[in-house]
Amino acid sequence: MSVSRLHLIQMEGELYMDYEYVFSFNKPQLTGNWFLDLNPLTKLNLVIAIAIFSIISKSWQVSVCIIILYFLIAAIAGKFYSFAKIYIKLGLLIGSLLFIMRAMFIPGKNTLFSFLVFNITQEGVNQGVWFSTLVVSLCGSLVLYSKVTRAKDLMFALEKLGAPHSATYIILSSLQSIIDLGERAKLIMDSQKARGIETEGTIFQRVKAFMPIMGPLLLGAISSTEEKAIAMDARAFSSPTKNTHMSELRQFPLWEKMMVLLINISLILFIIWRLI
Amino acid sequence: MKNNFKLTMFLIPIGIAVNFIGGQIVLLLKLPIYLDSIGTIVVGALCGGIPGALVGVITNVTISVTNPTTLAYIWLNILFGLLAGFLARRGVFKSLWKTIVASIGFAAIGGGLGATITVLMFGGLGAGTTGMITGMLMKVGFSVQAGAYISEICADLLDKIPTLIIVFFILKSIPKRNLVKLPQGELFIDK
Repeated sequence: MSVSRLHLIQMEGELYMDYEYVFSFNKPQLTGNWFLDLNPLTKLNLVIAIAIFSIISKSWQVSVCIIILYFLIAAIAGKFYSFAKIYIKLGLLIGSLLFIMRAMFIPGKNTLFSFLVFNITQEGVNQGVWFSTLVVSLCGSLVLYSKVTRAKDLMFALEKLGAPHSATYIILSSLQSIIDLGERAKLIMDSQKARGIETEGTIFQRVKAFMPIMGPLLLGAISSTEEKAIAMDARAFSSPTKNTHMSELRQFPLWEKMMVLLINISLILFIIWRLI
Repeated sequence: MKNNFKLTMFLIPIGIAVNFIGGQIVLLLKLPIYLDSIGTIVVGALCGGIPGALVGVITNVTISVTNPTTLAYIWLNILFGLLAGFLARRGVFKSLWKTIVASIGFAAIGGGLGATITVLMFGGLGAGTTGMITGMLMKVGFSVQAGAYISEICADLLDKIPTLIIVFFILKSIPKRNLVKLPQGELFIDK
């Protein structure tokens, strides 16, 4: 750091270079929130442990507690609003659909009430509550994990474990291509509308509109893939030596290892207790 | 040999993105089909069964972040990719009527295996419009299993036939200079 100060002083009258910013890339980039800075594999471990927990315990009360736990964790990580927005919509949609399906259609002995052709039975309601809370809690683990982890951190952790860099490239590039192709699809749809392709109207008209949108999109994407392959080759993508990295994760601190061990041991103890 | 593998690796993200975009375009056009396997089948036909299956797997995992019940159907996507690679080697994608016949095969797998998974994992009542139709059929008198099979096979037939027609036209119009660099591309060059 003292080296950069020296450079700043020497460059007083000349071009000003922000060496602090440049040298900050030598260290791992932290966000300041202790939960977000955990290693992505730690977070994966935590999320899978919670999911197994909810599968093994067969009561719906546990599932509801776990759902509340997800909101707590999201709040700790500072991602409460973005997580809650998606999760509440998803949970209500899936949970209510699964619950209603089961409550209405599963045959049972004690009928609570019936109207038209639908019979609501006690067994159906029980089944419905248990199954829908289970599925919603499993959903929550996936949604929570995608919100608190950045894709490039997870890919870096996997590469450290030995995954080939072509595999991590495929996953990162597909996440990026989804966004790129989506924008290109909107562009193509607008330009085809300007050429007179009808995108609203009868179902037959809408079907005819699909190919003029999909065709140029896919063919343009395949040709640009070839150019990308040449560009990556020019950047030594397929060389057999290992890559260096520009942004890395921090070293595994001791308290994090202790936390992972604690969670796994408690999970194993819980499984054993349940099976006895 | 190494050339083929590199272009395959860059085509896989495109296949995944096309699966997504297909699904979104039909939502925008408000059509009652999924159209989320176009990329899987195209990549399976062009690069072989395993890249196609990989496209299917990653698409499924990414969709299940926002709709985790689709994770149970991951085997369907794998089978579509493998089947597409296999059929391309047999020359099925070179004529339109053979493609449409093959689409019935795809729909049978999608509907049959999908219904089996629904019955095993969700007790026959999935989360979606097919679940509703299954429920209605149960009231009429069919059992849970029969209702699930009928509704899912019909929905899949409605979905796979347009998918495979689109795949056929796309495979016909890929320029030759891209085809020569792909593992199974030479099957699609008219000699």
